[in-house]
Amino acid sequence: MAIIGIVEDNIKIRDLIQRYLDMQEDMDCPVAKDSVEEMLEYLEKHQAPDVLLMDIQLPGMTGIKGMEIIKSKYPDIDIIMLTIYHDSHKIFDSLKAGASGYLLKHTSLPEIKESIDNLLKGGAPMSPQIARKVITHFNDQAPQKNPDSMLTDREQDIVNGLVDGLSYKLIADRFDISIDTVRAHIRNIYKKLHVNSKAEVIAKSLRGEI
Amino acid sequence: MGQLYPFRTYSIEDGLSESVVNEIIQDSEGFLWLATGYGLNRFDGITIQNYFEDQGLNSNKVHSLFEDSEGKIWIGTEFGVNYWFDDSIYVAEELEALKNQRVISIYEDSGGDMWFGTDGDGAWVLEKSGELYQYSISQGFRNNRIRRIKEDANGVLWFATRGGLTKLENGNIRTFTTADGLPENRIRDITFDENGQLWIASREGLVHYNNGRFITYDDNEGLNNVRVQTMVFDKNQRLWVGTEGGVSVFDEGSFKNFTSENGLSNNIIYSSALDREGNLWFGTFGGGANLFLGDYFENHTMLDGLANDVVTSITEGENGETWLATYGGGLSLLKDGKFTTMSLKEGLLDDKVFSVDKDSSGRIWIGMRNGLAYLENELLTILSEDEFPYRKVRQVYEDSKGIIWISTYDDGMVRYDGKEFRLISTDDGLLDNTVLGTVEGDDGSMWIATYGGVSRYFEGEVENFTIQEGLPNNAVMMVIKDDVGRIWASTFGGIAWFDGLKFQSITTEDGLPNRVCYFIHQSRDGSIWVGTNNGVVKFDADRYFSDNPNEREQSFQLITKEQGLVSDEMNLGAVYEDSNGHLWFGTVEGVSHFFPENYKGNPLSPKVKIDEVVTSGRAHKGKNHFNLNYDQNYVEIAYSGINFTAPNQVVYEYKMEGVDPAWQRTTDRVVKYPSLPNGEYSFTVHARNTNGSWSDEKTEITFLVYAPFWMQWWFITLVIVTLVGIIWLFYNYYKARKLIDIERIRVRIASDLHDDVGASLTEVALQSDFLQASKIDPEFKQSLEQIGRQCRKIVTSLDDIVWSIDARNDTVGDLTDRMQDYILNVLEPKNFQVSYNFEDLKMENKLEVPVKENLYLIFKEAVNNISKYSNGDEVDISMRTENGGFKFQIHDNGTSGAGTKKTGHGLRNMVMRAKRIGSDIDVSTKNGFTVLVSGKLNSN
Repeated sequence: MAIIGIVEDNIKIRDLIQRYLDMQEDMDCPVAKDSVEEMLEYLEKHQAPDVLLMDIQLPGMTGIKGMEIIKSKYPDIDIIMLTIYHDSHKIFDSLKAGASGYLLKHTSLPEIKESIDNLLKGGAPMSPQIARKVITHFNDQAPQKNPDSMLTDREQDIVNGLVDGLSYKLIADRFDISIDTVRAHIRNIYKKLHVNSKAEVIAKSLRGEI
Repeated sequence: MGQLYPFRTYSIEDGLSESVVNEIIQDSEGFLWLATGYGLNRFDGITIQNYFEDQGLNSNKVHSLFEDSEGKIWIGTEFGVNYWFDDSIYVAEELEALKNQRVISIYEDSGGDMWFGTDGDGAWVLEKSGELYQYSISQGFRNNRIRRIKEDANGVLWFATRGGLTKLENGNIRTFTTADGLPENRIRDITFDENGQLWIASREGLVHYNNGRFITYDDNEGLNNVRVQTMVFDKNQRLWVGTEGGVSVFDEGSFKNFTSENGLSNNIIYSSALDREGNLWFGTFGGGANLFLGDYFENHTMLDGLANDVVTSITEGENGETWLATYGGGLSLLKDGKFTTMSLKEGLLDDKVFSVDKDSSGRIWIGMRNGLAYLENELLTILSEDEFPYRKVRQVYEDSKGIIWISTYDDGMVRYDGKEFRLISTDDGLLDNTVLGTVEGDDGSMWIATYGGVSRYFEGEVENFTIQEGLPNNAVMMVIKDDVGRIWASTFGGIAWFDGLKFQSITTEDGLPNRVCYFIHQSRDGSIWVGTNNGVVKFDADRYFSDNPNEREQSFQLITKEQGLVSDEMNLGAVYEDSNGHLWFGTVEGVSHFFPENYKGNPLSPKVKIDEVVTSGRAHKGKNHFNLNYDQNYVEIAYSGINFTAPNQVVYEYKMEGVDPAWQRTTDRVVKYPSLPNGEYSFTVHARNTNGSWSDEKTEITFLVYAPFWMQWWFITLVIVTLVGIIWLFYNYYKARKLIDIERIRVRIASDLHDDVGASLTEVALQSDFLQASKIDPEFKQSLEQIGRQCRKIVTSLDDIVWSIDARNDTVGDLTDRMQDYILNVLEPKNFQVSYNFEDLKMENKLEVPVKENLYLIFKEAVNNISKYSNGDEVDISMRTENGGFKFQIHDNGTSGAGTKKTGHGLRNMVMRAKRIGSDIDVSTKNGFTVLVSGKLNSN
């Protein structure tokens, strides 16, 4: 049974998603909060959910900021960004902040469930535009020469494939691997992205900027 | 007291440094130099500049002056020699040996050697080679005091010493003394006449050295003082000598003397000079310098016995004596240089005498305020009031028939035929009863000057001429007939001549120097003399009627007090020509007796020098060219023409090239040009005397006024560039701001729409999802699905719009990402094989919002088209950019595109969007569906 949490300020959407997910046999959605602050309060006293759906534009702390905090305190929570904008910049920012995937709000409820399932199975969605940003990001990081935070060759291949517009299946075929492996790679790429971003955040905090 | 001559004095009051004038010379530039007992003076006719030890003189006591052939002016002082060159005084170093000597004479011989005569140390010669030799008693001179050194035509040098006359000929020295016939050994001066013969000034008279003999002229020939100090020849080769008793001119064997009684300021004459204008200068001991204009004027005033200074009329008696009518003093008789008076006391009716005229029988008619009288054989006859009841007689005129015409001021004209007096007045047709004079015309008619015009009276008939008939003024003061029988009139407004029908006027506009013409007279040489309020005008009618404008201009010559006239204000009718051809002019301050044959005029045109140029307070002296800054453009130029005869009658013509369109005429000696613009200027000036012609030689200065820095080309360019830059910046700033504002509003509206409407639609969509999840009628479920799909489609469209107009997504990469994303959502699920060809694209390149927006929407339209209607399975998307343009192509391998009509709307949409960004679009359905858009990245 996966525990799902929601942070969303639109009550109707929040309720609809919560009720839908609660209806699912393998999911439990005990918490749906208005803001990051409330969610943090909840997390202190309750069991942490496995997956958190989080809106970006929130009253008080933004979703991106909130994600950083939650990720740093509860690294095991997988966070999926909920956004009304199909804006690659925002999405990429949220990925860097620790999100493991993103969903457009108007994504149909069954698709939301599927995405959560995928995530729980270890996969992660990555569109070509996100893939391009991933490449740019890691190229910019290159001078750090930290092998742990750099993409592996295979990861690089997969991202390139995504940029070329190949589907997960085509990528899997091209490199003779399973789709799940592709997903796992992508998930790993997200993690590296997150680590890099964290390193960046730490570096910044050391300099007293945060 | 004798008659006064035109001597003009310049002394301490006029700026001379001291009143003892030891030497006078005129330099080649025209300046007059005066050596005085205290200081050196340079005179230009107006200002006297003084030089003292402070200016470099060895001593303030200056004894001698000489200008050499190089224009150097040598200055002999109490302690050696200085020289003047290029506006400065220098010490003559090579004459160091003379530094304790009083140098009293200087001379340059024909070989260029300079001679210096000392007062006790002999003569010194500075040879051209620079060698200095002395000639003194040791070398054979009789005396070491050398008063004058001169060379004769044969190259023989002569020395005037206090021990005789010494000559130096081919190295031989010979001295002439009393033993050789000189009247005295103390020689003061020597000079040569036009024949090269030597004249000697001695303490015992003037001596002529002729054929080895010394001939002395002294008091026997009329010289009033035999101590002759200085000699000078005038332009007529008459020898003028200055003595300790004044000035004397030696002419045809006898002397005529001029003393302080005749106007000299002092009788002890030390020095003399002839200037280029022909004036004689006499330096005196204690009286400064005297300028003698010439003996063409002899003036008489009450000082030498005239009954009154207001002389109204003059006539000559039978025996050469002169009768002068005065207003207030009666009648004066000048005979043998002596005046006697006939006044009320002597039986006249009145001391206010207006006229004195002689008739053919020798009678002297005396017109008085109270009546008329005449003298006959020294017997005075007063006309009784019964016989002649008229007053204020202004003229008595005898015509060719012996009729006497008497002009009266109030009663008209009186005709006297020897028996009876008959009045002709306004009753008879005269213009006015104030009659000032008359003259008989060739036809026997009488021309009568009245205060109402000219009346012509002929056998009882009167014809009148006024302003209408050409007179310049109706107040006519005198009428005359000239040598060709032409009638002339002088009036308060000029003069006029009768052309047979009417009068032709000559006024100040025609060049007449003054409008008030008291008298008019034609002398025997044909000249017309007009008496005015400002001197006497000598009018040359021939020149006046000449076609040559320069000749015309010079037809009027003015003679004023400056030229020796006793006064500038003439009296009505007070002109007379005596039997010697000499003229008399009656004025309000005496009478002037004029000798035309001696009058030289003032023909030499003055050389103009620039005295000073002051530019905004800064003086530029002695420079012919200079440069000025833009803020020194107030230019004041002071100049003067050197003229000594009539320094105040110099007329100038100047022209500033680029400012004055033509020659400007003035009598001012300063011209001002305020705020000259930048540029090159040349100022030219020349001068003439009132009576002379323009000098050919023009004086010129040139100068440059720099442009102020804000007028320099670089500054102007800079300003223009800056201005353009600022305008451009502003323009762009506002344009950009406006664009940004518009952009912001667009994004804002779109975002708000998206957020609000999108959220609501999302709610609806989720709601429908939720409902579908429950157990419901499949048909109902389908409807719900439809609702959900439709809502999501709208949200997606809104999202696309927000994305496409959001300036943050402005790179080519953003566009292609978005396209791929869209393909991913739309075509992938339909199992299209999509291949991209974005290889050569520079993903970071910026795209303008409209280009991005429209290109994306065209793309979407095309993809939707394919997604909906294509039966193919492969899609190629390519985009290239080059030279600021782009080519975007989307192509599928379907074959159904051609047949569908549903593309119509979408096609129009694509064409419209392509047009918006100025691109070409080509949609083809052959070999699959192809859309090709090519345009410019920058839609502007």
